[in-house]
Amino acid sequence: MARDFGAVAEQLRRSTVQVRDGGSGVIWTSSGMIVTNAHVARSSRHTVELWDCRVIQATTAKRDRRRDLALLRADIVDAPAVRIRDSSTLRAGEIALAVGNPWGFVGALSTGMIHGYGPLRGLGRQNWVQADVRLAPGNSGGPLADAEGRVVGINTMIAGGLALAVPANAVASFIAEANDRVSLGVTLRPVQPGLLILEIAPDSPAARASLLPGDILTGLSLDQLHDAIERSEVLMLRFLRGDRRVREVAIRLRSPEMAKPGPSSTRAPVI
Amino acid sequence: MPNNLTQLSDELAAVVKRAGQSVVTIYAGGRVPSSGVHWKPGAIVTAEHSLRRDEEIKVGLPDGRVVPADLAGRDPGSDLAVLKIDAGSMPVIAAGGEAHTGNIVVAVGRHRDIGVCAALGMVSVIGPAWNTWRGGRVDQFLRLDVTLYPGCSGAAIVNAGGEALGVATSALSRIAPVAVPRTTVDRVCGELISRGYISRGYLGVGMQPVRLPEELGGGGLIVLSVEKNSPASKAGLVIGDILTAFDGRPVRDTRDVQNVLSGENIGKTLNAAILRGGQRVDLPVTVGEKGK
Repeated sequence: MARDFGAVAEQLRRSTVQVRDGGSGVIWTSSGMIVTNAHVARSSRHTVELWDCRVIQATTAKRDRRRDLALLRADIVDAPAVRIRDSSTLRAGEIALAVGNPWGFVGALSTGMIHGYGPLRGLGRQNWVQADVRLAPGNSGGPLADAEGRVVGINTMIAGGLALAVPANAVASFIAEANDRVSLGVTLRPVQPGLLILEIAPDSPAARASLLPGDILTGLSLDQLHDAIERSEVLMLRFLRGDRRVREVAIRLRSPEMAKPGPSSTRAPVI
Repeated sequence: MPNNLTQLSDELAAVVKRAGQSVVTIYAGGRVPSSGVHWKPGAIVTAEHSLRRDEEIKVGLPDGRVVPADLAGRDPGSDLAVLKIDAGSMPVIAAGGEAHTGNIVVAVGRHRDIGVCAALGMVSVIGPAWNTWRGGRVDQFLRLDVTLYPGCSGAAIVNAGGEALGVATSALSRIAPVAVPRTTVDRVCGELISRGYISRGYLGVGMQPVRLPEELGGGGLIVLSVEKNSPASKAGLVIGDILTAFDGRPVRDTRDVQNVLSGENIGKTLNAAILRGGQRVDLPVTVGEKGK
């Protein structure tokens, strides 16, 4: 039994990487796709250290802050990819293993049990793999696996001592999603007159429409904006810039070159 | 790539599934609903501290139904409470045997949103019968190396065979969760169903430990106060008497007396060996019932 723990842990370690200054990551495909948390991959370029001590550069291919997932692309030949399990088949009581770099301690193994699978109050409607496994900062982005070493989730946070992992199925749909999940490319903060733009992602629809940080979108709430982005091709937005004059801008959300992204297209973090 | 680990994993998942058929969610006013165990037909045992109200308690069954429950009684001392429900076809949890230090155990609870939930651990300490800080008597000390997540108070503690060793609570020890062992749950459950409360014996004396010369037994309890019309005053105990043995058992601490004053001794006449003015005197005392 102890040998099996060791073997499964060793196999997981080979597919777990260290995302420098952030946390852990999982080699998802042998072509070098690495999955980690969005809160680990904050920038567009990363230094990633593999289990065999190779240090490589990776770029952020995709990032979804809402689901706290990021996809990195790295040049690794024959990368040791993990095996993945359909996370909806998980049962409470199964053995669970987590590998990561808690407190910078490389390749640490935590073991425990699957506590349950489902939504958690206060964290939206999405499902979580909830595990009775002790995690620490640095485990973020690392794999949560079953007794066979198949990855069932990406360790993301700790709530009341409980380890919460984004289910492998959610990761799969995040990767499968068309690369141009429609987004405006802004970071917003609700303020008194409307929604203040804090950041604009380069090369995003918002940037192309010449919106600037400091502009204040008026006349709609965050939820209404989300709905409008989902529905419309062209978004009409009113905003304030430095004075009382209300300006108006038309933003094309689905531009022709975005509809068919090339295989090497890299896009910056967006909401 | 099945291995020993996957086999263990499958077995544990099966244990959780089976035990989970007898584990329910308790809605009794707490911020997070707790768990409870179908212990005897129609009787759910849960952690007393998790019940915030006595009425309008509801129980979420494994089949998804939510049914009303009647509170049979509470025993804060052992942190157990019993609810009566119409259990339908829900099975009673299997009874476990003796627990040993190092046994693998699983805490099986039922969460309102995700259903049956589990945590893995080990029996970390087994000790003799003990008195809880809440004043109850528990037949065996069973400390667990298990994390009780919110909602898992009142969860079943089952062994690797899926048999219940007891009911989990975090309210009896600060260091780690303990299991109230099966024998105590059986006793408290039976008494709460038949009577609605846990009866305690009563003497009506205030006492303090004192040291005595070795030839007189080394120590005893000196009587500081005697309540009027109490069993003790009727038996003739007076202030200044030193109790050295009760029911044939030497007493050095008030706990030794409390251990004799359990429910089954109510109404019985027990011998109190006392020292009065340097003389040994035996007094028969009829144990009363607390609160009566």
